[in-house]
Amino acid sequence: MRIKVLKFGGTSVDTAEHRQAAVKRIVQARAEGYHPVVVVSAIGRAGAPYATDTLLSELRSVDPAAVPEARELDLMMACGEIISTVIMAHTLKALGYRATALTGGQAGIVTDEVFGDARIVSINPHYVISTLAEGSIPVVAGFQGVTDPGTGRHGAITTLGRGGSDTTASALGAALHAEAVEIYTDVPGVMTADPRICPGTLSLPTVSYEEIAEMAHQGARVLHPRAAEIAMEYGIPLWVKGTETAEPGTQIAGSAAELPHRVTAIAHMPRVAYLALRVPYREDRRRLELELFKLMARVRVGFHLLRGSPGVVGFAVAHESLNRVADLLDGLVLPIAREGGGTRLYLLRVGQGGSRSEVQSALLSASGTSEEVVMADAETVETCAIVSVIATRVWETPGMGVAVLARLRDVGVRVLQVADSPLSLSCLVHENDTQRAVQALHAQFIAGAA
Amino acid sequence: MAERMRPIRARRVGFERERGVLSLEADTGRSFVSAELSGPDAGVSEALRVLSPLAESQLPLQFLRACPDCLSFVVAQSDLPQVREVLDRAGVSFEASEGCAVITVVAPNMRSIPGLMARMGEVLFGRAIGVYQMADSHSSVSCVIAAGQLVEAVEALRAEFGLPEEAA
Repeated sequence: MRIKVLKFGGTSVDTAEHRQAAVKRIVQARAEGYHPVVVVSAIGRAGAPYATDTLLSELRSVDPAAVPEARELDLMMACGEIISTVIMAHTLKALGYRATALTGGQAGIVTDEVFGDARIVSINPHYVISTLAEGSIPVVAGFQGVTDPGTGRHGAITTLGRGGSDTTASALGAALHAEAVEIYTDVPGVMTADPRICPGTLSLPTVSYEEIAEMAHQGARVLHPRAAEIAMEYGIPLWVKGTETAEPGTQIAGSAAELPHRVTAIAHMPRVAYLALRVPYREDRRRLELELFKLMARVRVGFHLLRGSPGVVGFAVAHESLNRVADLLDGLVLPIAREGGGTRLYLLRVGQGGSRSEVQSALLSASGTSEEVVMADAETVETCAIVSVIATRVWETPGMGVAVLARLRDVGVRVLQVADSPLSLSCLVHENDTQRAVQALHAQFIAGAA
Repeated sequence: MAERMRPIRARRVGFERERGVLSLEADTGRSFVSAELSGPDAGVSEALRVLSPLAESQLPLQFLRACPDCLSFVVAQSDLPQVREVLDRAGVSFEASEGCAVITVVAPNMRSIPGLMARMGEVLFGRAIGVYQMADSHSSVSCVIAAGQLVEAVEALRAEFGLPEEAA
């Protein structure tokens, strides 16, 4: 049985017209001799009636102060995909095709019990296979599975976390030994930059797993790396295609280690804030940095672009996390052991008000502590973005940093910080320079090199 | 001479890879170079003054970090004499630490594992292993340390992340 898995995202199933375009793709797969297995996301993006975010808002509106139980949160979030699945199956039936709507659990996806970010532990796709054998098109709800019915959770619905529907498609492709998994979206493939801010972007013919993972890591809205990882591990050809274009799309294949140097794409991460904490005693910087990392891990705030200055602890966070970080750090007293014995008390002052740090300072003075109290002030730049050149063999290619910095200087973009990795070179810029930076780097490294 | 340690890999049990650290890797034969940037034109222009002659000499850099007041990177130990010569000729004041190693924990989709960098730093700090630089990618966190402390660092991180004792 030749099987092809076709996954349609929220914007590919949000209107009757878009669903018709999706049906065309499914019918085309059948005409090519495949048995199509369809996976769908929840309908629409945030704000749409059955989008995941909308369902969450509805639940939270019951009592904004109460945190919903993780198990019930997953039950709620899974509804969006189930609704989408039934509508898609019904659309196919209305056009004269046999179709069967399946939840993730009915498709045989069994996960661990980590609600909100479950991992797939096994797939038993016998229901999908029997559906195919009957000549019906299985339409499977993405983003979800169930816990093992034999455990204490009794087959509770789980969700697979960010990019979960892509993961469902890849995983089903692997379990069904599909000839291909195709992820359909509203752009023609994996693009060389965000077409909304950069004219002249191109759809990449192929991209390696590592490149796409680095693009996602640096903020690009592309296929979730977990889906690519599964396809790579099980040797399933994976494609990203546009629902409504005739372009061939992008194949995710191969390893970046096998590729020569090339600039793949320009990614950007908008809405970033930058904090730089002055550390008067350089020998304390690493310890202070470490204490801050631990605190941020505890509140599950990720950070980017660590600064390497001797007298500064600096990092970028998502702007939506800034208030939480400022709230966490302002007025915090961190004792740092001195090399020669004793302790320094670092009092952190973050934000313009810094009201808690003033109170703490007064309390420390009143306590008559014998330890040295060091005020560490944080400078905050609230409106930043990270613009990254995604490339293979960055660490083996002399001059990449120079080329990027010189180009940005020439177009008048002020770079606040630079950091590289084996597959990227990232620059922190002011948010209002983002478009100019992306366009300039795309013109130089991609359009100029084409 | 640069050497690469055989990776230490976690065992796999489920359909998908498990969360967390999958392997530990290390390379030796590196040098860490840092320069403080100053003057009225510190920042990109000053960084370019340091980086341009290195690029012209076709010297590849790793772990590049640049901000308005400093710049640092890692080079192959074998390239260090040429790096020194190029930077001296350009009149750049810098510091170089020879005999460094890069130790890397590999954790696919590491953004979903909060605190990986903190755990790695804590383990190394707890063993008084100095870290020159840390860097992350989509699937890894790397630290530049003194090569003389590599064995201790590997053992400590292997234990912290529950990896097998033998290399793959």
